[in-house]
Amino acid sequence: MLTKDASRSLRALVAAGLVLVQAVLPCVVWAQAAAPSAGAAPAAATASGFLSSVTGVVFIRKANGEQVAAKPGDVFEPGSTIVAGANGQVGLLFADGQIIGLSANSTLRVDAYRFDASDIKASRAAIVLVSGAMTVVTGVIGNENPQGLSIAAGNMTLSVAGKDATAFGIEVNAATQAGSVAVTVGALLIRTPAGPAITVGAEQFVRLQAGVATAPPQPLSAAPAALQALAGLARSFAQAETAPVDVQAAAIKLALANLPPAAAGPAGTTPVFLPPVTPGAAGGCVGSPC
Amino acid sequence: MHANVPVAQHRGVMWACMALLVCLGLVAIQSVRMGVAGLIVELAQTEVNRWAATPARRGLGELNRVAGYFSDSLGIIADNPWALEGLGALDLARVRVSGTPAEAVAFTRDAHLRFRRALQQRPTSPFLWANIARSKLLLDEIDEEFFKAMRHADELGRWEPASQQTVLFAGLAAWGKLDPGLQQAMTGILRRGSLRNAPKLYEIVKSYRRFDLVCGIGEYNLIAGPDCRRLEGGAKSGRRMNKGNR
Repeated sequence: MLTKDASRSLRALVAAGLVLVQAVLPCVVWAQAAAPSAGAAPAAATASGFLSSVTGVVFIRKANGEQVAAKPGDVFEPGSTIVAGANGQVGLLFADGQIIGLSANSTLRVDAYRFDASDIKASRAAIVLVSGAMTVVTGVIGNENPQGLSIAAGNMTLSVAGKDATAFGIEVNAATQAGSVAVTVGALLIRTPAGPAITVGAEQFVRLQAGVATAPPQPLSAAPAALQALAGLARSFAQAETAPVDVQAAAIKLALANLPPAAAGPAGTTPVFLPPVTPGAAGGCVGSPC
Repeated sequence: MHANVPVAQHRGVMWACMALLVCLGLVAIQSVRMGVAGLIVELAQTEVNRWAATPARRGLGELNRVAGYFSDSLGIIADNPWALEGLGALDLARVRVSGTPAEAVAFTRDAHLRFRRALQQRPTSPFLWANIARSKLLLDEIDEEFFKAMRHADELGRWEPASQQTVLFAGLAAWGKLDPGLQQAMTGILRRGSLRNAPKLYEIVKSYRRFDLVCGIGEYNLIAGPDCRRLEGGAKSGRRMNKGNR
């Protein structure tokens, strides 16, 4: 038999325990709910950019080998390879505002990418055009930390010469390693194993062949038509303001904007999603709707 | 019998007159068609000339609008060389504003075919030969047709500034592939052109940084002097370095 004081103490203890549980429970629930987003946070931090436009057949091959059909708003990380098929075309917008347009029958790999708006000197981007053609308009990394941006195509390595936005088109043949570069805005420094580095200025182009010293740049109007078109696209991209972007927010916004329209129904009504009804053995049904 | 002869003769004359009138009518219709086709091309050409007066990059929409005039003209007279050449030139202008590399190549191929069709009507036009060379250059096809077009354009347009400029531009782009005769032709163009349009030709030479081609021609001294002196200075320092290395 408990004394009156002991019973009072026990009740106080139980009450304190209940208060404690009530205080702790929401924290546990919050922590559990927050766990997935905490898990997603590193992904958000490593996202290099997102696909701003997709036409035709385009794939993203992730660093782990997984390959998925691309759609506007898909994000990509370092190690991702983007492949545009025969009728494919894709626009890539990087966190630092860099724009890349990948043409049909082309493959691009993002070898490394790190953008820190508060520490541009430590920001890095290494992009490889494996085959095909692309247009590039440099972003903050290329403009403010030119050493931080490296673009490789075939056996050439390109870097920005100067501190201005640079717009150019590149094409490379994966089999022969031959390629061409056309610059419309700014200037590029091109290095090959075959000879000294060469600077290609605005409205100039250069051809590169494996094992052959690079010929001097020529006026862009003398370039083959396909290269001139690439340069023209780079010029039109360069007219847009290149500024850092919040990749996750912009990607989600774009993905939502590209969702297929909702099932037809009277305007203003909220769509109702019913659970599927499974027919039962006796012709009735199984599950909660029954 | 005698009375019938004049009547038969009269009928014959009448039929002959009728046939003549029909022929005249057909010629008149054809003339009107040619006139309308020419007028439409003239309208398009006026627009193109206006662009030349105010140099600016033209959008695809504007180029397509003017190309529409040439197409309308070709709808009336299918082989109008003037319209074919104009449309071909616009196709080449559309290359730089086309949406994809494949589209740009298609425009260039269209231009090349149009120039070739126009050439069947005007085989002695240096401008058409020069444009064929230019379209072959953009197609990256430096072959026998390119060299033939270059030779004809040079021979037929010895004193035509527009032809000279196009041939020089294409020639310098493909310099390493030209035979000595054609390389000689380029210096010939620079000599002849120096009398009428030296600044324009020098601009082309400068874009390829081929000052060596003009430094020996007196007429270019005034405009090319500083670049030639720089070239000479570079060559001297190169020789000094070579001597030092030895």
